[in-house]
Amino acid sequence: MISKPPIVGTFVTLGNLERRFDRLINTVLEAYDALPKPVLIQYGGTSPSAELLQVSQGNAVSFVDYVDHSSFNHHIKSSSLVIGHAGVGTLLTCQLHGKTPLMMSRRKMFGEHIDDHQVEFLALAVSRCDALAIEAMDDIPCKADQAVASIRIAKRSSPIIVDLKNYLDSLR
Amino acid sequence: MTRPLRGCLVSSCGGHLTELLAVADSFRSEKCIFVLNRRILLPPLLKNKSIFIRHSERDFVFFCNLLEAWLILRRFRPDFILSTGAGPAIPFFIIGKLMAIRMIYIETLASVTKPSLTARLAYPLADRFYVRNPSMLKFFPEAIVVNDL
Repeated sequence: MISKPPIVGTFVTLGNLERRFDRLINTVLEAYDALPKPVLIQYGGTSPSAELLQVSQGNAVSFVDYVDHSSFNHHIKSSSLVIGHAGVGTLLTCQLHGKTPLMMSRRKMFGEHIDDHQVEFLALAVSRCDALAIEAMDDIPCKADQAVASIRIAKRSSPIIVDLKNYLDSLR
Repeated sequence: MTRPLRGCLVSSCGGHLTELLAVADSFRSEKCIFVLNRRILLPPLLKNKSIFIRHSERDFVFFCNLLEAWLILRRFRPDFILSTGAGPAIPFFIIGKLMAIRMIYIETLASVTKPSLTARLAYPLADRFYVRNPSMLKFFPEAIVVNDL
């Protein structure tokens, strides 16, 4: 029998890239006291050090490398707070479930991605009030409160679906 | 009763797959297979409908992907290929073009000021090309802008 994933207070997602993104994990753990508990960190390619795992053992923090699609949706939907890298998949899933995530963009200069498209994407998302940007530990407490308190209409429809459907119909 | 179309949906895993699934309502009633470049735990929509190809990172595995694309498309004979990127799209678009299959590309939301390499390569091959940000029109003047973020 497959058990349902537990409900977490804060879900942190680094996506499935193989590049490290220690900056986000370190920032999140520095702001631990301000986060809804428990905290689940999906770390992808940023495997935590033994020291970090040991420090986290005494706290309500757990780590997982990857989660499947259903679990990802479950964690985004059920957690009080979502923190993530500025990935499109993360933002779209948050929109689907009416969540405002805190996001930090991966940067090329730190070897976190092949270019800085996440920087531009996050700026666009912030300008449209779809995400809140974080860069350091100090950003998290007040933005976490803002994100948890925000109520959004879950996004269900999309103009592209209509256009695509019409195009496919024209192929019959 | 209209015959369902046969669709080949190509995507890398992660955010690109999420973008593909975000438009699933457009192809849900068609007969589709999914082509992915990494073995993952599949969401319900993809179960029993997915084929996995080798994972290329802009290396010689690309040529293996060309062969895989030819074998898959020759066997499945889709009416259309739909892709949200990234890399797996190109071998399928190249072989799809040779087989005169209709090709649809959706550029990622993440392309705000610069297009992805996949988009630049897919644009001359695609029959329908969507971008999410109007800023992309200067790179792809024939693209359809669907700005719903």
